[in-house]
Amino acid sequence: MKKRKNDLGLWGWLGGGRWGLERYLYSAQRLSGVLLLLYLVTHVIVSGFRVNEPLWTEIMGALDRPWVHVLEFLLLVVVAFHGFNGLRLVLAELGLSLGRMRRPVYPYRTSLVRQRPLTLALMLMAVAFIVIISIEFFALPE
Amino acid sequence: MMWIRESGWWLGFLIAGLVGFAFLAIHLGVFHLPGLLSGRPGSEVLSFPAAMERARSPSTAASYIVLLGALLYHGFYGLRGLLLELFPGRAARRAITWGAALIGMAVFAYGTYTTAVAARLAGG
Repeated sequence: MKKRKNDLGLWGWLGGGRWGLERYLYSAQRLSGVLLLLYLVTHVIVSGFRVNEPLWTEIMGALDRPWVHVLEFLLLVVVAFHGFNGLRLVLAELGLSLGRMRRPVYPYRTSLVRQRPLTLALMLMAVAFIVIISIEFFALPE
Repeated sequence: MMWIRESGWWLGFLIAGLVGFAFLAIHLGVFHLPGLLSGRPGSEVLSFPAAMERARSPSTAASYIVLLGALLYHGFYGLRGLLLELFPGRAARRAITWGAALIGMAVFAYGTYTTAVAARLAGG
């Protein structure tokens, strides 16, 4: 199939077309999604080891390291971003945050007037989640 | 016509994302709230006896299966969409769709199987 002229492929993730905030959030959503999918498959396989006691105890012991905890924390940061950004996308895709249809008379009232505060609110929720998680990971004594 | 069928899968993708979000919140709560609330995060939650305790109840197994199904469907549908954008074409479309579906179903089968084995092992 002939490559279309506006087909930017992966480079389009860096901001093809309108370079709005939402474009970068969407690219980050895709990237985090792929990473989370890789983690998910690994996690299903590893947690499947709980059916074998010695193997499970050995692996959980091997993973009880500071650098592993840091990686787990980063994983939860990615989960928080992907989840809350995903909520934003579901709302946007189902048209629930677009606002009433109105005549495009200058000054134009775009959906961003509603969308940006929603984006901020969801990202603040993600930050709140990350703060709570970091308390558990780094602030409490072992 | 296939574009009309496609929207059903896409809506399932959104629903799976929401369901996965909800069940993941519960899943994370089970593993992180004890440490947070007791003030002592530790490896007790991950010990074998604790794992068996969790595996005993059928609601745990059910929630694991729902969580797994939702997130695997969401993940592999998303990956499929991404790959289809990068590699357009009829043969690529078939290969990517079937590849994603088969790998997703294989991982789901494995996860469900280990959940069932763990439940039986725990005496549930």
